[in-house]
Amino acid sequence: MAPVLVFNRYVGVRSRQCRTAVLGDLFFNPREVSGMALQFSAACQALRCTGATLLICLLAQLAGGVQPAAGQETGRPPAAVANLAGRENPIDRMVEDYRGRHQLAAIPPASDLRFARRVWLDLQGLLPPDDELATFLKDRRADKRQRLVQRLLADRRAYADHWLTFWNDTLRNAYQGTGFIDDGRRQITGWLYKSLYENKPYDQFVRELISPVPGSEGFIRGVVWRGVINASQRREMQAAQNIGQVFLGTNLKCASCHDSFINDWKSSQIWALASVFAEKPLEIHRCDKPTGVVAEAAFLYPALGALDTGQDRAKRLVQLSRLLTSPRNERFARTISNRIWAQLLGRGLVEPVDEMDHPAWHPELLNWLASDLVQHNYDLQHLMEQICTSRTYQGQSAAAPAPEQADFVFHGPLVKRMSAEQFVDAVSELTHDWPPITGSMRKRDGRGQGGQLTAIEQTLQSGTTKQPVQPARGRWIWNAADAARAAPGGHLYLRKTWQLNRVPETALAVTTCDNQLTLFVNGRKMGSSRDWTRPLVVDIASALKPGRNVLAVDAANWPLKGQPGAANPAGFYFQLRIPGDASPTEELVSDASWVWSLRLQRDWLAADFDSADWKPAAVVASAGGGPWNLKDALSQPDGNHHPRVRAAWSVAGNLMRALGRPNREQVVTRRDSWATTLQGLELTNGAVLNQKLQTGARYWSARKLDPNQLVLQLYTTALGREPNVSELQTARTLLGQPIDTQGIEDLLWVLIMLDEFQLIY
Amino acid sequence: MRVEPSGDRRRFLQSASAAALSAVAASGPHLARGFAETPAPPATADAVILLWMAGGMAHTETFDPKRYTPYEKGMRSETVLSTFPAIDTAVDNIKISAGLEHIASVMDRGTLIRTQVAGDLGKILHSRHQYHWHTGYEPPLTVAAPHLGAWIARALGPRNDAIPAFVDIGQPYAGNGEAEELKAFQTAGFLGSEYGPFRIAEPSQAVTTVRPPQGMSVERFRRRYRAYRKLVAQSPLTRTASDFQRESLLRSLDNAYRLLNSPAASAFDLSQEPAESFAAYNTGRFGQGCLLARRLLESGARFIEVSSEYVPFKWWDTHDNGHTRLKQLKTIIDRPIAQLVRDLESRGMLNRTLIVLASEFSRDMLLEGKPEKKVPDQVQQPEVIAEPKFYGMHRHFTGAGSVLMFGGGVRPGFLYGKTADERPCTSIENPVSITDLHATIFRALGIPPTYHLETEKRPFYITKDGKGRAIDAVFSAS
Repeated sequence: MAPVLVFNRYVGVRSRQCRTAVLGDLFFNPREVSGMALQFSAACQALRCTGATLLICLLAQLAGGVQPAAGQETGRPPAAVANLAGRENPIDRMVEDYRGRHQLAAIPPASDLRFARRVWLDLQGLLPPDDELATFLKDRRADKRQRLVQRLLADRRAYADHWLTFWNDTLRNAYQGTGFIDDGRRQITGWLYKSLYENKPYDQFVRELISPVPGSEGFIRGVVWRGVINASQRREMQAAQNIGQVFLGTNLKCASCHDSFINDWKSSQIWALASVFAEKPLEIHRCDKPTGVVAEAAFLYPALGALDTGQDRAKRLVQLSRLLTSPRNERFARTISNRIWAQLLGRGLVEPVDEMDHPAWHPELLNWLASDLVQHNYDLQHLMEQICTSRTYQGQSAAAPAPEQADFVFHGPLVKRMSAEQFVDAVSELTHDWPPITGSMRKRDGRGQGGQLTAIEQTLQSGTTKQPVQPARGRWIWNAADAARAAPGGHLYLRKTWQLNRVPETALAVTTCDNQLTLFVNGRKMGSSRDWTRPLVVDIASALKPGRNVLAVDAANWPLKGQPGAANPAGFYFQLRIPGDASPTEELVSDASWVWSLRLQRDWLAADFDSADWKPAAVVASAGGGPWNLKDALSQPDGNHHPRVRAAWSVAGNLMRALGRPNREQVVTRRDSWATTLQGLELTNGAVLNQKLQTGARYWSARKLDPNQLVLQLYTTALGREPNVSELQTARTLLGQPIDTQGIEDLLWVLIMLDEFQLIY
Repeated sequence: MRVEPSGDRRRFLQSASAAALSAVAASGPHLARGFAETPAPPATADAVILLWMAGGMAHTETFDPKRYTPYEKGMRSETVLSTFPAIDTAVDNIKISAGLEHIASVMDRGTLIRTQVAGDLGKILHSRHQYHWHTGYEPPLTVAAPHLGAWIARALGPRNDAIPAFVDIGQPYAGNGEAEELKAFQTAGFLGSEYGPFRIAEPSQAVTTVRPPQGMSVERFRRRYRAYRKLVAQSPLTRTASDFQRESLLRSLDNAYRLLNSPAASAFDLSQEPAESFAAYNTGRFGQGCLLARRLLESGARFIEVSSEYVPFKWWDTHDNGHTRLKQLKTIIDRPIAQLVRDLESRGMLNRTLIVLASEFSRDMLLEGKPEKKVPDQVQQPEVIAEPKFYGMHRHFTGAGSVLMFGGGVRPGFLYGKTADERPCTSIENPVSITDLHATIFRALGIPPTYHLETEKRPFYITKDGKGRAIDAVFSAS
C-alpha cells in the first residue's frame, strides 16, 4: 500500500481520532505509517494534528525497520472509528467535511418523486406502484423518507428478488450455463435466495460460501468445462481467486500463473490459499508447468491468525471461513461496504470496486461504514438503511463521469442506468405483461440446470409469509373415459365458454396435457406446452372481456400422424384461478362441461362459434390421479401475489443479454452502463420487447380511458409524474384520434426509451 | 471486467454532431486503438469471411485424401483412411476429395494448409474446442475472451458505418444442448458489447433484423421515432444532459434508427439477389449464408462468420454414417464456396478479402485425440465393419486438420504442411497451432500478434499471451 493511501485515511479526521487511528496503524502497519511520515510537511497542515501526533509519526518512521511481508498489510483489525453517533447521519457529517475541504457546494436534496423512484429501484428493483407513490408524496411526516426506506427493506421478497441479480453476477450463479455438462458446476440459487430473504448476516453468508452448507457448495466448486483444465484454473484455484476478488477486493488472478506484476502477491501465496480447498497437497505450477514445490495451506494474511494445516479439508475450510470473516479483518467489511455504496450511489468510495488497495475518495467514511457494519452484526440491510436515509444519498443526482475520467470528485449520487433486470421488470410493470413461468424454471434438468423458481418458492413457502396452497380442483379429461389407460395418438380440439361479470386484474391458467397443448383465449394464443410434467402457468387476464369468453385448446396425444407408436395414456388438465372474490363459476376447471372434436374446424377459436355438434368431454382422472401423479405441481401457491415473474428469475434471453446481463462464466461485480448500437437495435426492433408492447397496448386499450387519462396514467406509472402540457400534446397526437392500439403501443415504446425511464436520476 | 479506457470515447461523444457516425459496433474514430510491441507487415486484406465447418471436419474425407478403400461388408476398420477417392484440382500437386469438384476448380486462387493442430484439451467437448478456436484461449478463464471477430472490430472498426463490423451467420441456439457454451465465445468478451457480433441465425430472415418491427409500416416507425425525439426534448430533465449514459442512450437509439432506415439495409435482403445468382448459392442455410456474406461484404462488413451450424451429433459432428453424411455435407458446401470465390474475384474484391475455411478439429475412424495425447474414446467403432453406419470417420482427431484460404494476399495454388499417408495421418511437416493460425489471419489484416488491451490492469493479447507467429510462407511475396 502506498504511503499516500494511508495518509488519506486520516484526512478530515479530528485530531483526537487521528491520533488514535495513527496509533492503531503504527501498531499494525508500521511501514505504512512510516511512509506517511516521509510526506510530513504535506501531512502537517491537512492533518491538523497536534504535536503529539507528529511525534508519533516520527516514531513510526523509526519503527519502519519492522516491515511485514508483502501482502500482509491488509489483514488488519478495524482502525479506530470516530464516535459520530448523534442525531445527524454520520455519513452526512463526513461528506460535509469532505465538501468543506474541497470547497464544493452543498448538494441540494432530490425531490420526493426522484427520491422515491431511486430508492424503489435501488432496493427492490421495481418502479414505485402508483398508489404507494401517491401516498408517499402526500405524506407530511418529517421522517417519511426513513419510513419508506425501512418499508422497502422490510419487503423481504422484493428485496431478495432484486439483490439476487447482484449476487448471481458476483458469485456467478447461473440457472443454465457453461460447465453444467459433466457436473462441472452447481447452482446455489435456493441457498442464495433464502440467505437474501432472511437477510443473513454477511459474515455468516460468506462463511457458508467458503465452508459450504447444503446448497451453497457451488461457489467454491467453481466452473469447470469437460477435459483438461489449466493448472491456474483448477477448482481450488478458482475458489482462491474468487475469494480474493469478491470478499477481499484483491486480484489473485495474475499470481495464479506467476508472481503478480500488478500487485504484491506471490504465486506461492495463492497456491497456499488454494491448498486450503484441496483434498491432497497441491504442487505449485508456474504458467501451467509443475515446479516440484508443494504448497502449504495458508491464508493470505497471517497477521489474522494461523491455520492449522494438520486438519482435514472440512475443518480447514471452517478455520479459513472464520479467519476471513473475523471482525479483525477490516478489509472484509470495507470491501462489501464499498460494493453496497457503489450499487446505491453509482460509484464506489474505492474504484475499481475489486481493487481495495486503491485510495478511497473518503477513507474515513469507508472506515466508518465498515466499522458500523461490523458493530451491527454484518447486517447489510442496516448498511443500506444507513446509506439511503442519509441526505447524501437523498441529494440531487450528478452526471456520471465517463468511465475513463480520472480524479473523481463527489458531487452527489451518480445517475445510474437500469440493469437489464430492472429494465425488463419496469417494462413488465408498465405493460402488465409478466413473462410466463416456463417448465425449466420449475424443474431442474439432468445436468442441474433450471428449477430456480422451485428453489425460490421453497424459501417463500417456508418463510413467515407462507402462502396458502391452492387445491387443484380440475379433472383430467379426454374424449374417452379410459384414456388414462390408453388412447390413440392425434389431435383433440377442446372448447369451453363461460361468462365473466368483470375482467379481473389477474386470471391464472394452470394447465397441462399429455402430450402437448396450445391454449387460446378468445382467439389469442396464450401459450403452449410439450411436457406434461411441467404445467403451463400463464396469466390470461389481458385476453379476457366482460360477458362471454371462450377457451380453446389444441391438445394432442403422441404419436402424431405419420409417426410410429402405440396407444398410450392421454389427458388434459386445466384450472383458472382468479385471486380475490371471484365466483366459483368464474374460476373454471377442466371437467365434463368441456366439449371436444377430432376435426380442426374453421373459426373454432371464436366465442360465437357454433359447437353444437361437439361432444362432452370424459373425465378420466382426478387432479392427483391417473398415471400422472401431478397433484403438487398443480397446486401451486399464489395467494394474493400473482406470480410476477421477475427478470432475475429468468434465464437471459436476447433482450437481457443485449442489455448487459452477463453469462456468469466469470465473476462480474459491475456491469457496463454504456449503451451500444446493438442494444439500440434490440430495443427498436427486437421481438421480445415488441411482444411486450403489444400485450401492454391491449391491456391499456381494454381499460377504456380517455386520452388525457391514459397519458396521465402511463406517465405516472412509467416516470412517476404527470406530463407537462407539451408532453401531453405530443403523446395525445401519437395515440391517435380515436385512440388506437398501435398508438398506445407506440407511446409505450417512446416512454420506455426515454432516458428519464431508463436512467435512475 | 472492464477495458481500460482508450480515452477517445468521451471526445467522440462530445463531437456527436459530426456527420459520419458509425452505426454499429464502434463509437469512435476507426483507429487501431490498442497497443502492440511489434509492428505488423502492411495489411493485405481489409475483411475476413470465416466459413466455419462446425463439429469436426475429417481432413482425410475433404481436403487431404489418403488411400481410398471402398465399402465392403466385413472390411477391417484399421484399413480405412478415406472413404472417398481423390480428385484433381486446378493445381497440379493438390488433390482433394471427391464431392468437392467446384472447390477443386478454384484451388488455384487459394492456399491449403493441411496441418492445423488443435489444442490438447483432454476429453473432447466440441464447444470447448470451438471456444478455443474462436478466441485463442481455453476455458475456463478468469477473463471473458473476445471472439476474433470482436478483436478485429475493435482494432479496425467497421468498413462502412451502416453495416455492422462483426456479423455472425447461421448458428441458432434454441434447443441446442451446448447453447450456453456457444454463447460463451460468440461475444466480444471483455471488449464490451459494442464489438459483439450482429447475429443472424437464419440468412433468409436476415432482413428482419434491420427492418422496423414486424407489422410496423415505415411511416409509423418514423412517426414513433419523431415522437420519441420530441418527448426527449420536452422532458424537464434535459438539464442533466452532460451525463455520459444519457448521451450513449440517445446515440444508441439514433444509430439503430439510422441503420433500420438505411439503404444499406437492403444488403441483408436475399430476395433482392437475381434468381440465377441466388440459385447458384442456394444449397440451404449454409449456401444462403455464403450469399449473405458476399452481399454484406460488398456493403462493407469487416468480419463475417458463416457457420454450417453446430448441433451435437449433427452436421459435421458425425458419430455414425460418416460416409453417407459427408456426401451430403459436401453438396451443401461445395457450390456456394466456389461461387463465393468466383463472385468476389469477378467483383475485384478477392484480393482484399481473406476467406478462411476451418473446423475445430478433424476426425479419424480409430484415433481419439492425437497419437501422443490420446483421450477417452467417445464413439464405438468395431474392428470389423458389418454395416455402412460404421463406415466413416467418427472419432475426434486433433493431430491434423485442413484449413483453406482464398484471397486476401495468400499465395494462390499453394500447399502448406504435410500429413502422414498412413495412420496416424497426423501432421509431420510444418504443424500450425491455432495461435499461429490466428496470427496469420491477423497479419493479413495488418494487426500484430502482440496487439493487446488492458483489462484488470494486465495486458490481454489478441493471440495467446502475444505469442502467435504468422506463417509468412502462405503470403505472396510482395
